[in-house]
Amino acid sequence: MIILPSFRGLLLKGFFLLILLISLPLGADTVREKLPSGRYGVATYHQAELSKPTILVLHGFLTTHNFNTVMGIVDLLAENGNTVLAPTMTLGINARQGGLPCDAIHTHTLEEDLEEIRFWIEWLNNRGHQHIVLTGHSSGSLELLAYLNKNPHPAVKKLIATSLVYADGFNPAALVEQQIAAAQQKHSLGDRSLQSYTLSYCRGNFLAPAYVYLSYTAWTRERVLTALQQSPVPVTIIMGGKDERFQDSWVQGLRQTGAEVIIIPGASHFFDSHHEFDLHDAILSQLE
Amino acid sequence: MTMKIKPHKITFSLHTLLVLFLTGGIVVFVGLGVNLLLKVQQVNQAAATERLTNAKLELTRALQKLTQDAAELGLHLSNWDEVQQQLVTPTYYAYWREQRMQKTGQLPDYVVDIELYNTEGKALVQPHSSSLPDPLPVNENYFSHEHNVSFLYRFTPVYDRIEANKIIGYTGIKMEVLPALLALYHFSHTQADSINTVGFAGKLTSIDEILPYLEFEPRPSPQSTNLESLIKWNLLHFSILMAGMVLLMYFLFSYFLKRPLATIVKQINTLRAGNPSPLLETQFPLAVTEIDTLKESLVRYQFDLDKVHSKLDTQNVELWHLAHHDPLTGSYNRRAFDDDWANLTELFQDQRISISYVLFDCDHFKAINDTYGHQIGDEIIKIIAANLQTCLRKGDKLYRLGGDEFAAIILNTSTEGVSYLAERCCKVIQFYPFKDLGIREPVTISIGIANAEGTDLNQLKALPRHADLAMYHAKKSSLKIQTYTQQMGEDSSILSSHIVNAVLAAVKDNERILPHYQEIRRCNTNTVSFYEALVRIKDVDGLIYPGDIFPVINRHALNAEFDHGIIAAIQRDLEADIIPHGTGVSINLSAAALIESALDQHIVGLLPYLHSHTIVMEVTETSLISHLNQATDNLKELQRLGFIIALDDFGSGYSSIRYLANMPVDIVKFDIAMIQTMQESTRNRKIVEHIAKMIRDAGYQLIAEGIEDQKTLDLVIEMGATHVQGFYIDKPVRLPHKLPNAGNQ
Repeated sequence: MIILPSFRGLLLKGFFLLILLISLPLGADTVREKLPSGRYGVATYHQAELSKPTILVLHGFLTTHNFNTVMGIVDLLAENGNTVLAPTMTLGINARQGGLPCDAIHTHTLEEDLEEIRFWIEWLNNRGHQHIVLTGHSSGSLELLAYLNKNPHPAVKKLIATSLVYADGFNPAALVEQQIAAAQQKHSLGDRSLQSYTLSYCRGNFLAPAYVYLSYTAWTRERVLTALQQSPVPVTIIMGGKDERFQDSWVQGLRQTGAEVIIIPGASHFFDSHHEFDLHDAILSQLE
Repeated sequence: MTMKIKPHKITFSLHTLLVLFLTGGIVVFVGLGVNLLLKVQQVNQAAATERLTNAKLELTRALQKLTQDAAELGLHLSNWDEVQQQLVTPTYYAYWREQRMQKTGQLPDYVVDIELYNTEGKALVQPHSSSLPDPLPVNENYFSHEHNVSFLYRFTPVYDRIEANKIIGYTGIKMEVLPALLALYHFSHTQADSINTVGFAGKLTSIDEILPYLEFEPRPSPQSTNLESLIKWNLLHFSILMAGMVLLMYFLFSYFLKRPLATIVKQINTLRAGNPSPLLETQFPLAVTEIDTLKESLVRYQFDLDKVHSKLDTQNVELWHLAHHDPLTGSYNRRAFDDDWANLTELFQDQRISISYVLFDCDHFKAINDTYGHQIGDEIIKIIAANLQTCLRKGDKLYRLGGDEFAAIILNTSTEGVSYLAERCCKVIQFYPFKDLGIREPVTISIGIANAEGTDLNQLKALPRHADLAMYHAKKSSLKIQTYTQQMGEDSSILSSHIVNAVLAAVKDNERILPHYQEIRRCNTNTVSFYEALVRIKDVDGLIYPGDIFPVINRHALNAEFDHGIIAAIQRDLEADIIPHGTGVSINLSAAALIESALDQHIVGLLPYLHSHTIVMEVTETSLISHLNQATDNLKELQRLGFIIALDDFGSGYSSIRYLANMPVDIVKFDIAMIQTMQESTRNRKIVEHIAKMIRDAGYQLIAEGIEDQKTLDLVIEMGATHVQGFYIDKPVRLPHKLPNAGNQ
């Protein structure tokens, strides 16, 4: 399905965005909760009517819920009257406040992220939210898909995956394969020394022990496509037509999974500029 | 007319004035320059002090900012996610601290080391390898000096993000003080590259403690430096320019002013000395208009003066002729005789010559005059003179000494020859047809001859008297020609020895000298200006007059001594207040007195009266002839002291005008001969009037003496005389005969 942008819609969305930006600080709360890991996680929480779906919005790789694309979705949904929760993955740092650089020491794994996702969904459910829609961006979409693949909470009803990626779809396959082989070698030896990897947009400076790297690279293209086919809930995938991180074959593959794929022409991986409104339209259309 | 003593005036040459002026200018300039430099220095010092103060304040503020930045850095570090990560999970802390921190860019370059401490204050990794202390020190921050480098240590607690009061660890940062200061603070008052720390021991916990250990240089003020350089540079340039200008001025002044003026002054001096030099027209042209004008004026003046001199010389010759000739007979007169006799006296001292003094006298002339009248008497005198002249040799001079008395001086002629000449004279008179004049009686002459030979001056001086004696004998004898013999001298009773003794006694005792005073009046106000002192000698029989006095004085060469006595007598009269204040007295100085080197000693008694009286010294031209230089010097000295100098008997000498131009004279006196000459003819009158005008125009006072009637008085007033004297005006009297009020008569 392809949504074509309209000038009138553009203007309207702009006006509402402006109102939202002015009014949002008054309605949003920052919640800090102790996670099962013992660390504290931080999330922005906008509570609204329970009659509408509750949205959990998850950020991308190494960023926070304050990332522009994520905040734009949060604002949109909050204005739409949805309860919105946008947590920040701790990535091993208590009450993480900012994005983690590639060359920081990474001791977090995808599995730990999934546990934190699980916590937040249960947190929502404990507050009466029975109809939860998961919305992710980039690797956030991947982690939400990975969550759905492993005993998801029954309150979760849908996944809207924007800019869905698979592990290291950004980098040359040969390199990825080589790194994975080396990491596996080290991991098998119990070597927990730090190594610089190329992972996602971190080019040769993702500093982590092997097991951390392997946790993220386990979700290959095939595994993602399979997970989509096996998803217990409907999945809508929204991709940017000019997302240069992927080739057309990825989108084609996504379509073959039976998931709804929405392409926003001209949009980048981050749906910036006026494409953000198209993204918002697409998301809202999925919530109707 | 009272003259004050002229004060001595200090003068400076033009060159000296220029040097003084230029030197003064240079001194002023140097003084101003030094003062300016001192002021600039003072300003610079004040500015330097202010800059130092500002730099110190700035450094203090920089240190404050440094400690503030350290605190902010510590806080930032404490809040950093990765610090939180390491404090909780320090598995890879060593790598993180040593590798990751260098790349992160979280801390500035001047932070040289960091350390994380656990809640117990111990470094996360043991043994710790950082340069920060372990365990955590007590002070939150302090300065330390290690290996010639100063550091600031800052330790900050890290609080739990959820439980705000719970400390989960500490951060420690170590920053290098100097680079931190330079990075954090923009120094505007301090030279950043001059900031340095000197060594200190221990830990300094406050800014005040470390400030003394900071070395620094205030930023120089380029404006001050430039201004000082500019001022010095300009002063140097101006000094060079000033020096050049001074030299140029000196050269220009010397070439265009001093040299031409010196030339002009030299010309004037030569004119004053009476040695006219070639006119300045032949000199180089002058560049300065005023000096050129001055030079032109001087040239014109010199030219005009030369013309006047030439004219005056001509008139002088005429005047001399008039003054030395008897207007009636055309013979030489008494004045000419006196001049020639004085010259002859000098000549006689050096050369052995024979001199014959021949005295001619008309017999019974008074009777003839009384009988036939003055006109016939004058005719007789004329005829006698003419005929006697024919008998004399060419070159012999006939002098009319007065009345009917003539004289001739015959040189280098034998007694026989002189006798022969005398006989011829007698005969020519004897045989002249005087009856054609209506004279019935025979007209004869008596001749007295006196001869002298050799170099005996006394003998020469005695000739006139001897001739007198011979004449006396000729009158009494039938022989009309008598030559002096010694016997005649011994028998002489012509001149009274009583008079001689009285005169000689008066010379010794000047109390006998009794000056009589004749008024000299101003023509315009008809008031007495001063009195001429005319000598009289008090004698038992009355007064002895100049006619009897001066032959004795002259004969005994006591002129100077006699003048001293006259001066003393006049001084007594001044002391006795006989001569009224506001008037004065004129004293006739003889040549002998005038050329005395000790003249000033004899007039010293008169000096105190110069402020209340006009004291005039009268000199005659004849007295100036001999020892001219000494006479001139003495006259100048008299004038300098305040005496007035009068040239008496003007026109009687050969070079009256010349003496007038070169001598220090204030007053000119026309004598009776000049006055009488005026009345003889229109031509003579014009000559005298022109001379009088010239004298007046030259600024001299002009006294006309010999005023014996109203007509003569009117004449001299019309001529331009400023003062008059004569029997018609006043007769010489002994004061106080009357007390004239100098301003009221």
